[in-house]
Amino acid sequence: MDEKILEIKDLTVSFGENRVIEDVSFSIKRGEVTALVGESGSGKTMTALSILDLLPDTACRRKGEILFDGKNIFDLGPEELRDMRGNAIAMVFQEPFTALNPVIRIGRQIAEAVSAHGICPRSEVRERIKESLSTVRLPEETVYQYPHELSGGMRQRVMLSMALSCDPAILILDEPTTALDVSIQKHILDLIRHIQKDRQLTVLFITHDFSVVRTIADKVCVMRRGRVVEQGAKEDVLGEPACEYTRQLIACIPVLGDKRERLPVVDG
Amino acid sequence: MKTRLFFGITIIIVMALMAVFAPFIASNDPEAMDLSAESRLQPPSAEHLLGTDNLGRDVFSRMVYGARVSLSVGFIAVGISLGIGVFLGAVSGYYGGRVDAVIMRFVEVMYCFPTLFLIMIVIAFLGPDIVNVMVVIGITSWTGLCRLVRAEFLTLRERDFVHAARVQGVSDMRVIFRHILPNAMGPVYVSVTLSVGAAILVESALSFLGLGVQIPTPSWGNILSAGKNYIDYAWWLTLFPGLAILIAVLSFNLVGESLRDMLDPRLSGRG
Amino acid sequence: MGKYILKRLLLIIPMLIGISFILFVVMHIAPGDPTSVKYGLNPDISESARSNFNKIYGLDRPVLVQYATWLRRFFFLDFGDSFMDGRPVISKIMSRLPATLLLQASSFLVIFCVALPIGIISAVRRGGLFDRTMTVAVFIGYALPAFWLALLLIFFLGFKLQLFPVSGMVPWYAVYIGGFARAGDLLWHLVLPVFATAFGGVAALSRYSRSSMIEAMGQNYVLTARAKGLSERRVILVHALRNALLPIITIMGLTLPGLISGSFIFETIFAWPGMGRLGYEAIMNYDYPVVMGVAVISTFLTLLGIFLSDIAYAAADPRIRYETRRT
Repeated sequence: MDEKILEIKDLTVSFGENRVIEDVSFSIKRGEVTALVGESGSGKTMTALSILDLLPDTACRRKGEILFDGKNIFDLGPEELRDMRGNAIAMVFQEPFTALNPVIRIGRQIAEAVSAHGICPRSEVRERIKESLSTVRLPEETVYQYPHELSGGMRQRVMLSMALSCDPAILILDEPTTALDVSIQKHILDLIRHIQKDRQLTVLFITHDFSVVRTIADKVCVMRRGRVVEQGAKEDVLGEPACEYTRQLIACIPVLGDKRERLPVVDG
Repeated sequence: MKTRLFFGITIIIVMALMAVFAPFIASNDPEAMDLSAESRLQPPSAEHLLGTDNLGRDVFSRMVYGARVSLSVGFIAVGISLGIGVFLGAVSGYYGGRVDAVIMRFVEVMYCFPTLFLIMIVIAFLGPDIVNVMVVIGITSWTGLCRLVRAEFLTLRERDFVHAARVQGVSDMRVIFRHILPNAMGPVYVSVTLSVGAAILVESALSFLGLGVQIPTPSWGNILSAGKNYIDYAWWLTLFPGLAILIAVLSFNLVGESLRDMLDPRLSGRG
Repeated sequence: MGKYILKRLLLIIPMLIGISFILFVVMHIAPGDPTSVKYGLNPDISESARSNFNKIYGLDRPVLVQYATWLRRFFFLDFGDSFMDGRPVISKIMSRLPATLLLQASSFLVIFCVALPIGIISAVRRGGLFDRTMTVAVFIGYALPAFWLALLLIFFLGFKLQLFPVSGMVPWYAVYIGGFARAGDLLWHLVLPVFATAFGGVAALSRYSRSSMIEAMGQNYVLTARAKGLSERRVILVHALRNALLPIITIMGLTLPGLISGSFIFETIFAWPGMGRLGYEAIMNYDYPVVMGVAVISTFLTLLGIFLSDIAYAAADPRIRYETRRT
């Protein structure tokens, strides 16, 4: 199980004169959790959106390749792209409060993902939704509810179940816990870890928080100002960070019993 | 964007000059009739640039004088609605509570009423005349401004500089008009400019219906009104005054929209 | 939901009373005694009409008392009799109402069916040729005096090209033709009045739905929908549009006062036998009972329309709560 399922080569994305991503290269192996780490504005989310070819289209130019299963996704036609999204590569966004459509019931929002890809016969869609809700430990009745009736944590579970409903080959999680209360964060992280282990999921986990990286990642890729500054196995990067920036980020992890008054400031 | 603003302002200035210097620009006396067959309903010619109407009056001269009516109604009516709207909106937003509830209920009631009919009724009562038209348009069109100013005040009154002024014992009226209002004026300018165009439209509609400026005094609306009976023959009586109204309103809207874009660049190119 | 509907419905009554009160007071603070103003301007008015007027308004009594009298009669839909022909105001209005409702409903439908697609297409192809053309067209549409447009329509499509009838609703020959032909003829007579009436609304609403749609398309849930692999068509028509429609529904309700205002102009221009023309004629003839009746009924229609759009809004938005909403 050592094959590369996704490979990003020399990806550069620019809005006009402004380069938000520069020569980013890294790869994801099947069954592994790759953490993409960096501060806000470092280009993590843009990298993730590039993988789904969902960059905001205003004056945006991109170079390089993103190979999924050996095929460059920039060469795919609109219909192939559509079928790839959600089905082969699914994504969970940072903001559970705005990521769900407020006027459509949860059940339908999940059903759409399933039926858009013809995953299963129409008659089994219902069953499949129930199943995916139970995977994220939500009650069956959730299908009849609207997003505003759910808490932030529950909404993020819904997003997760939606992403999982098509059994994607890769799951992209874009800061899935950042917008949540600290107590809820742990529940969601545990859930993600559990599901990942259970299904041997391939995950690209975007975060700014090295304490999360420590618990969940196999591989780490650190980004700063649109560039990858360091990557490698978790143990190597956390144990002996080669780059000063990474060292500063790691130093920000609060350690239980730490006596320091203030957290160090990172020079972004 | 700059060109739009420039364009709008230029047209407004030209119209204003036309209105002010009407006696020098007009080629004929706008009210002088000539009922002889060869001078009635004449198409545009060198002698009568825009033709003559059913009573043999020179349409060009009437249009030039008409600019006086349209512009003065536009500016004065909006001036009145500005006064009422800003005052009530400011008081409503600043004090909140009961005062606000009463004013807002009143605004809501006005909002649901077909305003034009109210204007028509009042003018029919008071007698159609240019001053009445200005006043009535003014006192029926302040609700939008009132809401706008109120909304601005609701956010501004919580700002530190307002608290600071109040702590220093500045009187309420002074806080409202000297401290808060200048900061709320941006959207007001935009709304006012657009309202001038709207007021010109209402005046022309009223004159068209015979409830506005009365003949023989010329206004773009009543030239149209007289022309409509001859529409299948004397097209110039319908075309030119309508175009004049269109261009006048358009130029005010151009200025208003450019101002809006300048105040809030985020919205430019948006609806 | 039931409670919400009832609350909104009950709100119409104080609004109607408020508006009729304003109108009543406005009519009475105008200088001079209404009967003498009327007498001076219209010598045809008979002594009986004058006493009828005095009977209804009790002009010698204070305004508030007069209003109370009017209000009591109003609750029985008694607006008194017309000065012009002595017929009860309510029956005059009722005979004119169907024509007005037909014109207004058609215009409303046209506004919705034309403006919404324009707004959606402009938003989806933002900055494209269609969008830019429409932006300019809408801008001109805003400034266009609609009654002038009506005249131009009459001139070009009516007189020059003879495509459409320019006045009236049901012509003299209607009784001689069959049902379907008569309906077709009615539609034919509707074309120009509806075009003129709907024009301003189309300009306003297409612009509004464009910005509402652009706003919705920038939302995160639209990104989610795309990331799910939904077709672009579904992303736009289901996810973005359903949300963009919510504010549009409210705006639709608020176009009604404008539509009704327009009816006073357009019904007059097109000789449409509706309530707007009745109101205009009543004003020109100082027929106060009819004026008051038309004003109240048209206000009621406006309020009813806004009420219906409120209900539609509440039905369309699962988050609606009565307290959070203020028009």
